[in-house]
This record gives sequence, structure tokens and C-alpha cells, in this order.
Amino acid sequence: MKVLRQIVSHNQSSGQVILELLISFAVLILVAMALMSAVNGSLVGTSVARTKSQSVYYAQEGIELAREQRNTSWSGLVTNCCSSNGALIPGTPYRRSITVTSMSPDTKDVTVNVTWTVEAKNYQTALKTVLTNW
Amino acid sequence: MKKQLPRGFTLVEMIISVALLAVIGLLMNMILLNSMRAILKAQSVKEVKQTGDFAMSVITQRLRNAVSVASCTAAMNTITLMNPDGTTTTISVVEDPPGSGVRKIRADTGGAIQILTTSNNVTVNTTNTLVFNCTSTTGRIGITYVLDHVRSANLPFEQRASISYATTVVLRNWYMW
Repeated sequence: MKVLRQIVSHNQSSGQVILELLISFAVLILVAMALMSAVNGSLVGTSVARTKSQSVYYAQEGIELAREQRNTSWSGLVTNCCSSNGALIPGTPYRRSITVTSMSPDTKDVTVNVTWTVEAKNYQTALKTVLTNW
Repeated sequence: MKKQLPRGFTLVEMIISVALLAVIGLLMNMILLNSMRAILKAQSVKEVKQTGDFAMSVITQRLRNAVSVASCTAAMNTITLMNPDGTTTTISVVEDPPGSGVRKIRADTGGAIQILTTSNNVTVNTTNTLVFNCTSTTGRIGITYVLDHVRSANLPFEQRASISYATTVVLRNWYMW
């Protein structure tokens, strides 16, 4: 009871010292947590940036596969011509789908979507090109 | 009534404050160390990424422009390209400078040597080295390689800076010849 009274009473310095300590401790913990989450955020950002650049290469690969199909057989250039739709690329966390839309008899739109997940968040890279029957 | 004299801190108060200070100090120390590690890792990853991206852009550009490939088989570590201007370019992995243990990707065009992985801190992984997959008769070539930061070799797994590259190109001039 004596201790309580000391803490509550503002005229005595001992209670204030303990309260001040607790408050400063709480503030410090808050600051520390903010710092830690900032560091963690930058680490996750780095790893996302890495997967992003890898995904662009896989998307370009999809465009090249469609181009190869165009070179060998124009009529064979259809949706999912060159890789199974939405399937995982072996050994990677990426899923790739190739969508082909016929714009005119000699023009086709090719869209490659690469999707993947980092820490329960979904990411996507899309590349688009127009191929012609030459 | 006797007026109370202003008193100093009690021993218990001092002990508590010192203990709190110690705990906070340890916490801050941990955070500082961790953030320094994170900075180092981010720098290493950035260096590897820049080096690898540049190498990949040059390799894919040279392959696209090539007229043909000297020999086309699966899983080649070296590729020799016939350029449109009649010269040949050989892309391979070499130790540069010799004895340094740093493996770099090199393009050799008739003796004119261009190092594609420019950084001395970035090395081509020995297990997942540069591989060209030339399996098709349509001029399709797959390129894969893994780059590591030299600083990574002795670090625990989560601190390693290593990026794997993989893509495929189709030779643009393949059908013209």
C-alpha cells in the first residue's frame, strides 16, 4: 500500500522515477519494433525485387516460345501453344500462361502472364507482343 | 513537524533502472547488428543483380543476332556463334583474374575479349554454371546460370546473395540462311 501511495502521489519523487522509467521503456520498445519492421520490410523488398527480375526473364522466354511457334507453324500459334497454362515452371515458384488472341488473319496478340507468391502475397509480370504471319 | 529532506534514489530503484538499461542496450545492439547485416545483404544482392542483368542482356542480344551456332547440343558450357558480319563469338566461363577463384562469363570475338560479368565480387556458381541448351532445330537456345557474391561463400544460408538466371531466345536470323 505504501508503494502504491508513493506511485500515485505526485509530490514524492520516487513514484515519478518508476513511472518515467516505465514510460521511457515503452517508448523505446515502440521505436525498436518500428526499426525491426523497417529492416524486415527492406529484406522482403529485396527478395521480391529479385523474383521480379527473374519473372521478367521467364515472361520473355514465353514470348520467345510463341515466336518460335510462329516461325514453325502460324496456325499452331494458339492459346497455351507453347507451355501448359498456369502450370509451375519446373524448379521455380513461377506459373506461366500464354494467351493468343487473333486480331486479323495475319496478326496475333500474344500475352504472357507470370504469377508467383512471396510471403502470401501474389505478384504478376505481364508481357505483350504482336506477332505477324510473314 | 519536521520537514522531509529530499532523498536520493533507493538501491532497489537503482538496480531496476540498471537492469532496464541493460535490457534496452542489448535490444538496441541486436537491432543495430541485424540492420547492418540486412544492409550488407541488400548491397550484395544489388551487385549480383546488376552484374547478372547486364550479362544476360548482352548474351541474349548476341544470340538473337547470331546467324547460326557452331554446334547445337543440349547442356553446353560454351557456345560459338556465327555473327552476321562473318566473325565468330565464343561465350564461356573463365577464371578472371587467373587464380582469384572468381569465375566470369566471357565473350571472345576473334581475340577481342569482353568480360560480361564485370564485377570482381560476383562469381559464376560452379555447380549451376553457365549452360546453353540448344535442343531444337528452330534456333531456340535456353540460357541458365547462377551468380553468387564472393562474400556469400562463408555466410549462413539466409545471408547469401545468389541469383539464378534462366531464359530462352530464338535466333532471329536463323531462317535467313
